[in-house]
Amino acid sequence: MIFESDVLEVEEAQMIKDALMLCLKNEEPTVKLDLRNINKIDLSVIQLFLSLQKSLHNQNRNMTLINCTNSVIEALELCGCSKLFECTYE
Amino acid sequence: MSEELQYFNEDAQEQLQMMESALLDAMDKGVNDEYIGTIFRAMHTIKGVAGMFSFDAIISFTHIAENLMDAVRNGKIELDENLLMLLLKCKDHVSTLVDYAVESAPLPKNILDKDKLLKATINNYLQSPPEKFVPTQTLPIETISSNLWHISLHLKEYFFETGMDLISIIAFLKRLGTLHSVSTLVENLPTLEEIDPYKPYLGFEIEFEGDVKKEDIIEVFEFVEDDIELNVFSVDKIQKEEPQKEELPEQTKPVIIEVLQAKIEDIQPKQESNNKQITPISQSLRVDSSKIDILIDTISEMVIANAKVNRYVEKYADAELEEVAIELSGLLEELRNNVMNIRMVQVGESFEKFRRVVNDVAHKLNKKINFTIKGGETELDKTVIEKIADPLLHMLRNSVDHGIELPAQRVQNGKPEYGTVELRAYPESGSIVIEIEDDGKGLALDAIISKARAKGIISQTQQLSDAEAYKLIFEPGFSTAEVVSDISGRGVGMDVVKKNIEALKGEVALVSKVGKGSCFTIRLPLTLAIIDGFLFQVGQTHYIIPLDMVSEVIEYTSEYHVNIRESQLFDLRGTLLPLLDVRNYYKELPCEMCERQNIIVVKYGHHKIGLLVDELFGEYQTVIKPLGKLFKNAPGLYGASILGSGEIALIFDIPTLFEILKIK
Repeated sequence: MIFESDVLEVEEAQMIKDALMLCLKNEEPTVKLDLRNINKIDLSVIQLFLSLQKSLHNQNRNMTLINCTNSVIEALELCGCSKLFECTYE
Repeated sequence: MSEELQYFNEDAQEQLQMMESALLDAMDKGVNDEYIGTIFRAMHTIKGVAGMFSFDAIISFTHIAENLMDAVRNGKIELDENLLMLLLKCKDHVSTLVDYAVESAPLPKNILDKDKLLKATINNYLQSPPEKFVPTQTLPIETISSNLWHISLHLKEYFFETGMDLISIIAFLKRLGTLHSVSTLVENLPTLEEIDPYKPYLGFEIEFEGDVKKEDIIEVFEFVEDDIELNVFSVDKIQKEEPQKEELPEQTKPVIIEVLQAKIEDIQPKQESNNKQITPISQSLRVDSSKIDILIDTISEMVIANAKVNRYVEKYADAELEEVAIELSGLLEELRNNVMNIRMVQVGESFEKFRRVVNDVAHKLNKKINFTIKGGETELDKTVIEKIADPLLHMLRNSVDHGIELPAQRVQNGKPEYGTVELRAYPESGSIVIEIEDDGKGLALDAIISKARAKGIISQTQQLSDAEAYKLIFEPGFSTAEVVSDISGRGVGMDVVKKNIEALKGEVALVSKVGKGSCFTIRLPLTLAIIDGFLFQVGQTHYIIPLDMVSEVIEYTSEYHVNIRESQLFDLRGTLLPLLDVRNYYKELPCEMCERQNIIVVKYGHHKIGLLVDELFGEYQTVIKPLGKLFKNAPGLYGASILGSGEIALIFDIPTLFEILKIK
């Protein structure tokens, strides 16, 4: 799943949650969230990613953040979440 | 501009305004700890919020200015007049930096140069402070610096609604030192199916190292303090050396226990007091003024709709309906007053800004002035305050530039060296009066009249009363200044001042005495939107006047009638007052249904007049609507209001009516 918007913030949290819910319904063993376009991400959205990860674990599935920009990596490090996600580049 | 940026901008401007007031107060009344604290807090707060937006230029400048104020606060540097002037320049510079930051505009070269110059000047102060004796003292426990800190942080339910991003706050914390680790607590996090996306569920444990005090860390989070649970602990040497404690000499143990005890006591009462302070709702709320305008418009429409309801109540004479209608009218009036009160702002805050102008102009002209503000608590509609600011500014500049003499000249004339300029506001019969009075050289009537004749504003033979002569200074192109300065005196100001005040349905007058000083008096309506009116009928037309201006109402009988040389007058208990026959004046047809005529005695300022009218209806909530172009030249009319019946009532412009009757 690739995010087209460059900003992921609390204002769009409900919309992002709805989009992430679709990932729960497909059957891919690993859900990939492509963050190549993201210049700003806030804690509410990172929290949604963690929440999705928890739901996927319950289904014995995994989640990977791919193509994280520097802004995303910095945000994840600052809130201590970088070690909670698997981040790769494709 | 985003909502957060707007908040930052407003907050920064408020802080800078407080800083400027403190600086000017310190200049006028002498330096004290309160002023120093205010100036320090302004720089510190702006730095803090700018940090969350990564406005580096602001952070870097306010950081140095804050250091300077910290040195002043600790008595290392004296806050003398030179430093006060430097800080005024710093305040202006920060204001410019904020403007550029909120516009996301790059700083031009001249601002960057100024930035460097001011920083160099401040550093000069910081590097070579004058020697001052500072007594040795024992530091209280909370001021002990420690390098290692543990910060425990939990977000409360409404955190995301604050609009603040925790990541930016942690980024700012990182600027103060090193983040060794940030651990995220996810125990309470629900699955995606269950999560409320607008609620926070996370907690954080942060290991931080920096040469800061505990309160410095707490202040990083001060803008979200109501929406987080925050605990900051020092991981000091005691804990680090714990494995070696057996090697410590016995006599140091009580000291360690004492320190730990003090720390525990320090934490506990603070936690308790923090709990007491936490209230679920903030005491003040920042609202865009356009939202209040929309609310007032809606209430205006409700007032009109309610008038229609009342009309049906009268028509159908239903007791139960009448009861409900009365209750509804009462509630609506209360709602209207409450909403109108939101718009009412104390004039003091706006007046405070003028102190800087007076100070700067006086400085530039080498004049010495005591500027005082009285009645700052007087309330006026926000729109009116905003629009009156420019005219007031111009009049104040005029008073300082043309009114107040140079110190030597004042002493020569037997006056104190310091001139006085006073700006005061007070309410008076439904209006607000603002006066600017100085004890300067005043204006000579002869000089005004000669100048007006020379400029062709009046004819050579025209005779004027004193009041009429003073009004000449508000004529376009009139200037009494012998030397045109860059402060005022180009002859293009006072006519614009008058026009601006008249646009607000206000009026301006001047009285002056040569050698004694001048006083400008501005009279303004309290509000421009909804008023309590007095409804009456003349001929076939309904009219309204502001209720506050109605002094009394009497039935017109022959005992009041006086006729001297065709002037319409009436005798009110032995006092002769002018009487305006409204029917005659507006060429109204006679009112066939009306059984009697009445006089409404109207008071404005210190004068009274009578209006001869037909039917009286009494108090009426009046929504003021502007008149169309057709009525542009109709004398004495201010606006119109829609009645419940759908008919239009015309609202009298009382100041103009007084003018028509040549009262003044």
